[in-house]
Parts: sequence; structure tokens; C-alpha cells
Amino acid sequence: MGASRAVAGACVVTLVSLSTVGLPMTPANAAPPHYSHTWYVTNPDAVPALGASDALYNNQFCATAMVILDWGQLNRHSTDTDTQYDHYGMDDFAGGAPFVAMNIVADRSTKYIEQWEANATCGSLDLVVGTNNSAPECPTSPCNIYYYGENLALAISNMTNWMSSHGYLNNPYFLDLAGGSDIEGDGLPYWDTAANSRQAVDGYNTSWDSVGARFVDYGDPFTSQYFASGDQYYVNWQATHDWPLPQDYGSGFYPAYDSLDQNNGDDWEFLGALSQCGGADPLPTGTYCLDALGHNTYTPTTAFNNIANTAPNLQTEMSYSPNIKNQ
Amino acid sequence: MRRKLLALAATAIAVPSVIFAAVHSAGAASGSQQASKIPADKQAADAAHEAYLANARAQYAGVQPPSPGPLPTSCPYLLPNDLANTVQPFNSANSNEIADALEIDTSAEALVMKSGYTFRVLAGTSDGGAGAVLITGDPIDPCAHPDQNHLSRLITIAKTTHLRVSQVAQGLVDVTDQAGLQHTVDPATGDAH
Repeated sequence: MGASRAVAGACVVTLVSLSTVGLPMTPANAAPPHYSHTWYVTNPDAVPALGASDALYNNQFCATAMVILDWGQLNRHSTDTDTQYDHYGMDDFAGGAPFVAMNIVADRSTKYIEQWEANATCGSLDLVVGTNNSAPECPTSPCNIYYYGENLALAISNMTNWMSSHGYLNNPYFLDLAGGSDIEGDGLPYWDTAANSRQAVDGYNTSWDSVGARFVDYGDPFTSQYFASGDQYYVNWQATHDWPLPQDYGSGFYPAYDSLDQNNGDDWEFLGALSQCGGADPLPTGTYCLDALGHNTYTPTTAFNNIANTAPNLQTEMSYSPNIKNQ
Repeated sequence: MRRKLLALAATAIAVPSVIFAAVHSAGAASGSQQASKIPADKQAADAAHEAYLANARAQYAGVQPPSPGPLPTSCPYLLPNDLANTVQPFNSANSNEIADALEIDTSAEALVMKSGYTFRVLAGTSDGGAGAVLITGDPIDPCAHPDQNHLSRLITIAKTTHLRVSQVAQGLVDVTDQAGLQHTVDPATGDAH
């Protein structure tokens, strides 16, 4: 997902050695990229149309865009007809939190990419198919959160293989696909414990196959009695495939990330920064905008610059400025 | 950034020294930045992923993505036209068939039509006994209906509270609970009164 990965290709050996010597691809003080659209999904069947409209939007800026499709709370419906992913799926963000089976998540996400590719004239897409750690996880049917992570990885793998065999990886406007999660550390009753949250991460990491896609954590940096600093470290960075795409909504966020980094290896690399301005485009460019509830929150520009300046000499992967809102 | 580097990657397959020089140059231009400390396992995982992508690009180099076709103009919840303005018998023998045709949900205590408000659905009995589904009004695209989310929420509410939705009408939904008490649900809030 980061710049260094794009060049690997047939030159893996060369690039690993380059990465080892630490030649940065993106200076931390570079101008923020133009923000991309990112969505809390409320209507799965309208997601393909978002792919078209988001590509048309991105054509104005030719940005390398990270788009997160956040499908909501992980769940399992044992009566659902989707057996490919053992009845796992997500409860999306529509009123009543309707269940969306994993095969539908994969299908609509793939169609999003198809529509993006058909409408893009420049720029490129990095797509993250995400969930979250809302509590209680799997509220409907008995489940194993570890298996949930495995099934999410399987869905990402199947999608990537399908995109490969249908020529999408040779399309210049599509870059990559990853799994992800909005993992929040605030703890119960609204967010799950670290032990459960780590299960999903472990399932994803352990099951990765030859595709080996990344897992993007776009949650918050906070700790609680349910979620220690070391747990945030684990789900953001320590787990092999996990990369942080930090939320930066206000003044408490980036110092918290800085603290996490300083106390846990001092080697974190952030992919970008997530903002949550509401309202229509173009979003404000000052310090604050209003979120969907009318509260002040950082604009994409402020959010990106804050995170880029967190351990700035390490941020060689800072590339993305997604702004999330309800579909 | 990645877009540019992708193009470089294609060149690098034939001339690796070109990409090395390009990346090296980019790094040198950034001045005094410290070395990345990305752990070795992450670098190896990324390298493996990039190798997969490179192999896939090479294997399917001649394959062009198919046209995605037009965007869907309806969603799966749309009522088939030929079933509009009819009364469908409903009983345990054909409930699943009708449910499939109408995209309605009979899996729980509720029988709710996942459609627009211009339809009225009279539910059968919740235990699968005889009943009727009355369909009136013109088909609409519920995906474009502003209250689609509220309908979805009602479905969930009905399932979790064992209310039986007996009528979906413009503005309000009448429900009957298992004790036979009548309730009216406000679709705007999902609250039952």
C-alpha cells in the first residue's frame, strides 16, 4: 500500500535491500495529498455506484487514493446462505445494522473497483475492505473471532485472485487491495477487549496465503483498562501484516500516537491520516471542519500534517488522506 | 507517488538499474531523513505480496478487464412488476416461494417487505399458517428511497422484539405483538408506540 511496495515487482531483492538502507519514498514534510472519499457503508447495493462517482471525483486531482469501505461490526449469521465464508460478515451502518454476508461484501467491493477502473482517467486506487471491533463482536450467532479474521483474509485473497485473473492488476488505475479494521482501544461496553480484538488480527495474519495483503488499522490510539499500550502496538504495527492509518480527529490524537510509537519500538510507519469531515465537497482546508454531528474535527490537511510530524524522520510511507463519512 | 513508481516498476523488469537509480535519486533528494526501521518481517511480507502482484501481472499481461456494464438501476429488493396489484395467497406450503419472489423476509417472527413504502404487505401468521400478502401501489426503487435505512431497521426491530409487522404504509407501520396488542412504529425513529 505504501510507495515502497509499488516498485517491488520483479525487483524484490533490489527493493528489499533499498528498504533496508532506508531510502525514504515520501518526505514527511511533503504537501498532503488531496483527500479521498471513504465510507461507512449503509447501502451495499449502491457501493458500485460509489466506485464510479469516487473515480470521477479523483480524476480532478489524480491522487493516489486510499478508499476504505468500512462494512461495520463483525458478525455471523448461522442461518445465512453464505457458506463460502462460514456465515461470517458485517452489520453495516444503516439503521438497524442489517447483516451483510462476507460474499456480498466481497462482491460489492469488487464491483466498486470495477466501476472505479471504468471511470478513472488518472490517479490510482488502494482499496481497504474493513470492519471494526465494536462490542459485542458476533452478537447474533456463536462465532470464533479468530476464524472471522481468517475469513476476512480469505475474502481479500479471493478478491485479489479474481482481480488478477481478469486483468485488473494491469490496469494503471488500480494498485492494491487490503483488509482492515477500525480497532478502537476505548474498551467495553462499546468496543471489545484487546484479547478479542487481537484474535481477529491473529486470524488475518496467520491465514495469509500467497496473496499476503496488508491489514490496515484505522482505529484510534487510545488505551483503557481493556486495551493497553502494548495491545495498540500489536494491532497497529507489531503484527506482521498490520499497518496504521491513524484517526486524527482532534488535539488528543497525534500525541497519543506519538506516545505509542515512543513506548513501543519507536519505529512506526504511518500510511496516512484519517479525517471525518461531514458535508459536501470541497471540504474546508483550515484547521477544523464539522463532522456529521456538527462537532469540530480536524480537516484532512491538518490531520495529515499532524501525523506526518509524528516521528517525522520515519514517515516514509505517508501517502494517504482519506476522509470518512456515512455513505 | 505510487502511480509514478508503478510505471517505473514495469520498466525495471527489463532494466533493473534504471529503477534503482530513480529510487536512489528520490531518496537522496529528501536530504537528511533517517533510515527507516521497518521490521524485517514486515519488509519480507511486503516483498512477498509485491512478488505475488508482479507474478499476477506477468501471468495475465494480455488480459483486459471486462466492461463492468451499466450501473444497476435497481436493487434486489425491487418488486417484480408482474406481481404488483395482486393478492398472493400465503400459507406454509408456498411461503418460501412467495418470499423469494417478493424478496421478503419470513425467517423470523416478522414478515416484512423489503421494499418501498408504496407497497402494503399484510402478513400471514407468524407460525406459517394461512394468510395473504396484499400488494398495491407502483413498484419503486427502494435503493433510491430515502427511508430504505428505516425499513431495514424495522426489519431488525421486528425480529428482535418478535413484533409481527402487519402493514407497511406511507409514514407509519402497524405491528401486532405476540400478545395481540397493536402498535404503530414511526419509521423515522424506529420507535414503537
